[in-house]
Amino acid sequence: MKSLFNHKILIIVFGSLLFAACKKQLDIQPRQSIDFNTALTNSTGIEAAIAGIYGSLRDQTQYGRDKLALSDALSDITLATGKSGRLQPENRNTLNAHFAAWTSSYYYINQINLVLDAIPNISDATSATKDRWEGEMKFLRALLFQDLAKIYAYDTTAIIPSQYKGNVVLSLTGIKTADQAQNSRLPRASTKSVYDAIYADLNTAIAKLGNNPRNVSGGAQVYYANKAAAHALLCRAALHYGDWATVITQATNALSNASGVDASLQTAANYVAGWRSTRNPESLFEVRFAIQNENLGVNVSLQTSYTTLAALGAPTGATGGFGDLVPNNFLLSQLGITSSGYPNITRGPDVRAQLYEWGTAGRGTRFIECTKFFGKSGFPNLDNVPVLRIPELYLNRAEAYYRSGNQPLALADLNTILTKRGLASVSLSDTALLNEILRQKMLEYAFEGYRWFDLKRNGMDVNKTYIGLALIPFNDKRILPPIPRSEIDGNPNIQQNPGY
Amino acid sequence: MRWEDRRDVNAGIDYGFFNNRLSGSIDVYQRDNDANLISRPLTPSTGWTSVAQNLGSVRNKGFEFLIRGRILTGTFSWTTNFNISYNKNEITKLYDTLKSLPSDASIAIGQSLGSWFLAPYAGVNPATGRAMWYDIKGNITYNPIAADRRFSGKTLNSYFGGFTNTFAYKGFELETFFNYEYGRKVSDAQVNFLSEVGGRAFNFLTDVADRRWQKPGDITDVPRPINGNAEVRGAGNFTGTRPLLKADYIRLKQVTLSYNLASDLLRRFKVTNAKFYVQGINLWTYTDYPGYDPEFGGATTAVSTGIIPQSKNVTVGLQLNF
Repeated sequence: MKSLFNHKILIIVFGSLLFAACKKQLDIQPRQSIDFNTALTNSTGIEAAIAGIYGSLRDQTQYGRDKLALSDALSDITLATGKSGRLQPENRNTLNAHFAAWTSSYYYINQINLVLDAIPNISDATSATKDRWEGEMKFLRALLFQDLAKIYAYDTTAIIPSQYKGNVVLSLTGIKTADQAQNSRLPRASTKSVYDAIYADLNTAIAKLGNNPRNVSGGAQVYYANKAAAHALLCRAALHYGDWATVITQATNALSNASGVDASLQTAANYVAGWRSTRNPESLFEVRFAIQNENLGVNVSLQTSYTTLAALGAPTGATGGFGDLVPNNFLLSQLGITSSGYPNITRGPDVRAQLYEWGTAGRGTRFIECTKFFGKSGFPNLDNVPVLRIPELYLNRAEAYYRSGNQPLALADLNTILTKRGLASVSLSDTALLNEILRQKMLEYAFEGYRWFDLKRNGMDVNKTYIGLALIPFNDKRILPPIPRSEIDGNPNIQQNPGY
Repeated sequence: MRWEDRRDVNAGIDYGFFNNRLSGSIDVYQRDNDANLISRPLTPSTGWTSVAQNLGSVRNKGFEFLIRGRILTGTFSWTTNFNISYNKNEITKLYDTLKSLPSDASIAIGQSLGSWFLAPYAGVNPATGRAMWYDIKGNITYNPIAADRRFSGKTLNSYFGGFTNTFAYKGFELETFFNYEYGRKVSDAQVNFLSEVGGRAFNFLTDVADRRWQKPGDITDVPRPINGNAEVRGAGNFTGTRPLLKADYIRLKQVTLSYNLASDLLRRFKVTNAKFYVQGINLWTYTDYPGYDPEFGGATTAVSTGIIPQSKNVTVGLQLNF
């Protein structure tokens, strides 16, 4: 009888202990709200957060794939092969098949904002280090905002007023808690405020990174925000903002700083080799894919999106990727590539044509494919992604000179690119000059995601007749993507882009 | 965050007639769950997408009915056992004054969890072969938008249960067990994938290909083959309710025929009892479901790609007890 009694006591004590333990467990803050708040209190935490933000650019919706492949799928230079079906709806410009960078971009922007808010309170870092942090974060924030603005809103240079619902949401302070997030109802800002913020961020980045660059050796500077890249990004932003004077000065500044990050415009003789090396020697900023962990894999990486080849020049060898997006006949003819069918291929003097070759038949019909991304970081499907390359500076500046009435200088910049690509100098003027500048940008940056934005920025129609579809006029609603429903449903101050 | 609250109201009777040859039970219940953990959506431009909070209430109500009969009790005996359950799930409260959850409008007051909230599919335009949908006013549209969505069924079943019969004669025993579910709708990713007639460079099902629209005047539910599964300026062919499939079924889950060997013979070999049996599992299913298995055709996520279908098993065995 006695032992039974003891047994009961024990159960009661044990039970109440368990209960107390549960209570305490439940008092723990939900995980979503601790990471950044508790982590950003010392320099180790800040450095880790910054590394994470660089890594976020590898996301599929960012430079991992979409900002290059999906963008070119929407444009007039590619054909989706349907080998995996990926990018096919985007290539056919199906309604709603469009960029989906909103949510991930703002997630990373908030992380940047939290880091920026935390930097002044860090006690174990020198002011030089803090300046570098601020410069790097503001460069990345400007990059994300400029990308958002060119994706989700009309550019200043080509607006359809009746369909203009504002630029993007400009969130510049960190949101730490869910309560703050619930009360945030920011509207779509004006294009001016968005670009003012981008300019301010980049000017800060230029100043802070110029004096306190990241201490890395060789060409590794291009894997981090740097002064030359900040000038180049400001040049690009100004181009979308129609601010020709800034395009010209920033292109010049970026070019004069390029040697500091071991970058230079390649000649026709070593252009292809540049694309075969891990770091493209023309890059001012690259998103680094270095370890196998970072590989987006055989479904969505850039290599698999563009080519079926497992080895260069081996169209009868093993099949690697899907080769979902290939150059259409228009782009091939512009590159000077002709073919009477596999295995025939003839290229003109344009050295860029050498980055295109016949793919395998392992997944159906063979196509001529782009090999700009070919496992250059040591593993299949693992490639650094160039975000800012030097040719853009010449072509942007050429366009800005043209727009500001200085055709001789525009022609000089254009000819710089032509001769570096194995082509003869030209002597053009007026519309023919502008068209050649834009054509060279299309050829130079095919499969790097530029074409869609250059068409949009210039209010040009998207000619889908090359792949048997109807022309998409510039006033078509599919030029702008939908903003995610959760944003529209949850924020009454935001207007959806028309047609969604 | 804290635990959810739960309130149960339950009424039941057990009954038995004719000396318990007919017996069973009836249960009626209502279960209210309050302070449910709901993933509360936040606007993505804040850098936040959602936060888990104790918001909202869900009510489950229904009944369970069981009837057992010992129909024959002589040398040849037959007992039967049938049960049916009905459950209705209903969201009764959300936070603030919301009628539905922003960002996931299928979570709405008065609706079941796991509801489908989609634009209704209107079939194929007989003249052109294009897929059509109804907009919110009931007019035909090629491009249903968010406002055209309606409640179109749910992934949770309404009725389910089982039916067991046991027959015995001398040493023989035959037991059959059926189970069934009714009222569920699922979208089967694998069926959808194999129904993309010409949408991508992949194989597809013959019966779907044969049903496709081919010439003006064809009345069918399968649109004309189109590269990319979407017409220019049209929604994707699998938009809206088109992929929804009824996952109702009656399944012969188990049949066992066994024979108990006579014991006086066994005693000589020091065996207490011996049973020889043949058992079949999943031998037969009555369903319209075109996918592999209506029972697991997408219980929650409505995706069954990669799920191995339940196998048909036949086991022959001898059970000896010493």
